[in-house]
Amino acid sequence: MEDLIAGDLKIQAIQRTPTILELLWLGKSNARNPTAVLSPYFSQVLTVAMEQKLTIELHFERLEHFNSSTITAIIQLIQEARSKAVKLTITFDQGIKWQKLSFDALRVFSKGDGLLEFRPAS
Amino acid sequence: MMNDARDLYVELHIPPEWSRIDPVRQAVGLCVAAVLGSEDLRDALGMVCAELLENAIKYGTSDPHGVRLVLQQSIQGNQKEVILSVINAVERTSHHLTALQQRIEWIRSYKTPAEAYMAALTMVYERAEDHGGEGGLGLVRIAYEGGCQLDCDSPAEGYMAVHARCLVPMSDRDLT
Repeated sequence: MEDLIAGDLKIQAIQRTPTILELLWLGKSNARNPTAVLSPYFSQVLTVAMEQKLTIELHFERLEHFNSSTITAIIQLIQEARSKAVKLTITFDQGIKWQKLSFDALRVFSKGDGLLEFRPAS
Repeated sequence: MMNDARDLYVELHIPPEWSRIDPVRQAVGLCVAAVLGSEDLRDALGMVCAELLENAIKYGTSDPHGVRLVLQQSIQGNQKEVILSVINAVERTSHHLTALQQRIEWIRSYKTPAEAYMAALTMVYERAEDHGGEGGLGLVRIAYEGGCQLDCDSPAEGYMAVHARCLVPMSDRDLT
């Protein structure tokens, strides 16, 4: 899986184990329409994850800032991953207030099906 | 000695270009951190600034004065009130001010900003199931994550202003 570089945002794709694909979010996601870039990338990621039966780990600990349009794109990824039965985990830095508020709120999409997990780190 | 309300006053006129938003976000955040000494407030008000500028640039119209941003504080009892205002030109026929007022009323209809934010997230998720739709999370994120009260008005014909206000407790230094 290739990295994504779009403006101030870099998503580094790393596969350290046969079952987990890590996506490390670096920099800032502040594009006017981030969905235009993120949605095709997420589609590729989901295709690879389905083919290889991978869990996708989204790591936001080193992300400096994202705009609300990026949150929309992440919600779309959560919805699409669930519809394809791909497991997602979201790791964030709970010591950074904006990250804690943003990602704790996304727990509303945990539906007890084990397909979305949150791992606060600090 | 009590701090003067003008410990924090910044006014910027910004060309309505997307690339200007992030430098202003950082500048506002650094001003807040310098005066109020809080990294959480730096991040929160930087985010508020970016979301308001995004709206102003998306829905505003061209104006030789650009988009005006004012960051200031006032003293409210034993608290400081930090106010971030973004003023921009709009088409005279624009319904954007009305739409913003309705959105702010919608946020206020919930007991807490957190409840409003959860409701907005759920709507985005449901729209994603239908494969489309704008997010519309900006203002409600300002209320929830930014901890700000919002209001908007028209300071002059053809202009609209959005104000985000947050209360900050006085520090010991402020009170000595």
